[in-house]
Amino acid sequence: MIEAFFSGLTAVFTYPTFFILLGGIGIGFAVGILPGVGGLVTLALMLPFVFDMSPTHAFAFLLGMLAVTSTTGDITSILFGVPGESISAATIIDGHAMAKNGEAGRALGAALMSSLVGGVVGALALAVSIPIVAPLVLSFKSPEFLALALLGITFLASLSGNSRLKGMLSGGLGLVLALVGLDPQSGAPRYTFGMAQLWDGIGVVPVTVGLFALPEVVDLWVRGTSIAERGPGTLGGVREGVKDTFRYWGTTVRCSIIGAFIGVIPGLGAGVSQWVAYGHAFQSASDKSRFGKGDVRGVLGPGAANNSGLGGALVPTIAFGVPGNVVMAILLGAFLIQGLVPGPSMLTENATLTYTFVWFIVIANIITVAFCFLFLNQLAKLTHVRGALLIPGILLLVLLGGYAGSNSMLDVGITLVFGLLGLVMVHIDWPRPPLILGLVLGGLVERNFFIAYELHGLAFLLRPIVFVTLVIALGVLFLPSIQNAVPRWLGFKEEKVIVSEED
Amino acid sequence: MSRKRIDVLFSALVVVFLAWAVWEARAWPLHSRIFPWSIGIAVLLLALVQLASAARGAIRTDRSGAVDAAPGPNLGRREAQGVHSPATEERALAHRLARRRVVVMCSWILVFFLGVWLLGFRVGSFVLTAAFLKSAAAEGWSVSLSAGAVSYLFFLLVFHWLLQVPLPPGALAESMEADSLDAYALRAFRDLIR
Repeated sequence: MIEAFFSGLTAVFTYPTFFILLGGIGIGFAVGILPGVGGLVTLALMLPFVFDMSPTHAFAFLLGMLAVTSTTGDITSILFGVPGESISAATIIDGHAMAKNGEAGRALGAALMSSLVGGVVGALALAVSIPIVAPLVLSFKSPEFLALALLGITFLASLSGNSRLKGMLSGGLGLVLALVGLDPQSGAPRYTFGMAQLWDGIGVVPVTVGLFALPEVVDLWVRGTSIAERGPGTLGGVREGVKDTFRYWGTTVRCSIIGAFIGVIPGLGAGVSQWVAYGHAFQSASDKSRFGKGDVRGVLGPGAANNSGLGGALVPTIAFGVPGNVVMAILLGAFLIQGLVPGPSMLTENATLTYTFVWFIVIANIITVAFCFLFLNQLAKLTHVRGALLIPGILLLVLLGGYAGSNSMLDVGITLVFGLLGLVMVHIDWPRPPLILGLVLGGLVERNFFIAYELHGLAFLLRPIVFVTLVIALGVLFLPSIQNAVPRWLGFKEEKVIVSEED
Repeated sequence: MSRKRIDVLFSALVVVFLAWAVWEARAWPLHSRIFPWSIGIAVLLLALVQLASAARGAIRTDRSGAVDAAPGPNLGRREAQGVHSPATEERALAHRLARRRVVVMCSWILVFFLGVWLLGFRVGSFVLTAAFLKSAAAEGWSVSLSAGAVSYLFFLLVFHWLLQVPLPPGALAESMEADSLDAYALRAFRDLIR
C-alpha cells in the first residue's frame, strides 16, 4: 500500500501525464469561472475525449479538471457576487462583502488557500479511508440520509442572521419550492402549471444565480461606483488572506473534514456541505458580528468544504461503484470506458492507479493555487473598474448561468424571477441562504422519509446514527437560545453594550 | 413606501402563496400531498406570525413618526409638520435617485433577457453590450462597439468553438430557420458577393 502511495506520486510527473493534467486544469479553470457551465456539463463534454487514452491519462485529464472548478468558482463569487459554480454560492455572502470593503485580495487569498487545504484534506481522506470506509458507507441508508438532511435544515437557523423567524421562513419557502415537479412516489405533477419543463423541478443553479447575483448587479448600478466601495487593497491583502487560513486553522481544517465527510455520503454533496461549513464557521466563532458583512471565516469555511468534497465523493465511487452525486455518476462512466471495475480491485491490482488519483487532486490544487496567486492582484483590481463597464458582462454571465444548467430559456426566466425576489429580500433584510438550503434539501428529505417509513415505520428514529444525528440537530437548533437564556435564569444582569453603527 | 411596509406586503404575499400551495394540494393523492401539507401548513403558520410581527412593527413606526431608512410617507409627515431641513431634503433626493436607478437597472435586466431570447447569446451579447454602454453608461461609440465585439468573440470562441456548448440561436433566427443570426448574415453576405 505504501509502495503504491509513492508510485502514484511518481506517475503524476511522467510525460505526457503531467501535461495532460495541466490541460485538464486549464479547462477546469475556465469552466469554474463561467457561471452555469459547471464541472458536470464539462465533464460530460470531455468524456468522449478519454476513449483513446490510458486510464492514467484519462483521469489525469478529468480529475485535473474537476479538482479546480470549485476553486475558481470562488473567484467570481468574491469579485462579482456571481457564483461560478453552484457550490460556490456560500462564498458570496462574506467574500463579496469583503470585495466591497476593498478587501478583494484578502478574500481571494483566503479562498484559494483554504481551497488548497480542503483539496489536500479531501485527497488524504480518500487515501486513508478507502480501506476502512466500507462499514461507514454501507451503514448509511435512507433513515441516516434523512437525519443528515434534517441536520442540514437546522443550519437554516445559523444562516438566518439577526432574524431567526425570517430565516426559518426563508428556508421553509425553499422546502416548498423543492416540491415543484413530479412527485417521486406517485409521479403526479405538483405545482407544474401543466408545463413539462417543470417536471424536473426548479433548478438550484438558476435560483442561486438569480437570488445572489442580480441584486448585486442592481446594487452596483445604484451605487454608481466600482465594486469596491473603499480604497484599493494592497498586495498585503492577498498575503493577509493566506495568513488568515493559518490564523483560523481550526476552522479551515474542521470545514475541510465536514466537506470530505459529507462528500463521502452518497446523495449529499458540496451543494450541502458549503452551507453546513458556513454554518459551522458561524457557530464556532466567538465574535459573530462581522459575518455577512465581510468576515474572512465566512470565506474560509465554504472554500475548504467545497474543495474537500471531491476526495470524499471519490471514496464510495472507487470503493463500491456507488456514485456520491451526479458528477461521480459521470466519472463512473469514465471508469467503464477505461475498463476499470470499481471495488476491491481498485485497492489491490490497481492500487497504484487509485493513489495516483489522490496525487492528481493534490497536485492540481497546488498548481491552480500557485497559478492564481500570480495574477490575483490583477483580478482584485477588477473590483476598482467602474461598475457600469462590468455590468453588461456580468449580466450576460448571469443569463448564461441560468440557461446552461438545462439549456432552457425557462430557467433564464426563473433566474429573473428569483433575481427580483432576491432584490426584495435584500431590501427588507430577509436572509437568502436558507432558501437555497431548503431548495437543495427538500427533495432529499421527502424521498428518504418515505423510503425510511416504508421500510422501518417510525422505528427508524431509534437507529443509532439517526438518533445521535437528530440529537445534534436539536442541539444546533436550540443551543444558542439556551446559551442566551441561562445567564438570565441565573440572575446575571445584562451588560448594555453600545454598538457603533456600521458606515 | 417604507421598508417596514414593504416587509408587511411581502409577508402578506408569502402568506397568500403558502395558502395557495396548501389549497392546491388538496386534490392530490395522499402520498403526494403529505409533504406539501406538512411543510406548507407549518411554514404558513410561521408566515402568519411573521406577518403579524411585521404589521405590528409598521404600526409602531407610523405612530412614533420615526423616519424610516427607506423613503416613504414619513417624509411627507415631517413636511406637513413644517419640519424642513437641508439634510432631510438631500436624503429624500438621494432616495428618489436610488429608486429611479433601481427601476432603470431592472428595466435593463429585462431588456437583456428579451434581447438574448430574440437574438441569441452571440449576436445578443454584441447588441446588448454596445447598447448598454452607449445609452446607460454614456460611453463613446468606440468603447461600446469594442466591448460588444469582445463579448461576441468571447461567446463565439469559448462556447461555440472550444466547449461546443449549444446556445440558443434566438427566436428571430428560428423564425428565419437559420442556425444563428450571424451565420445567416454571413451566408447572405457571401451570396451577395457571388
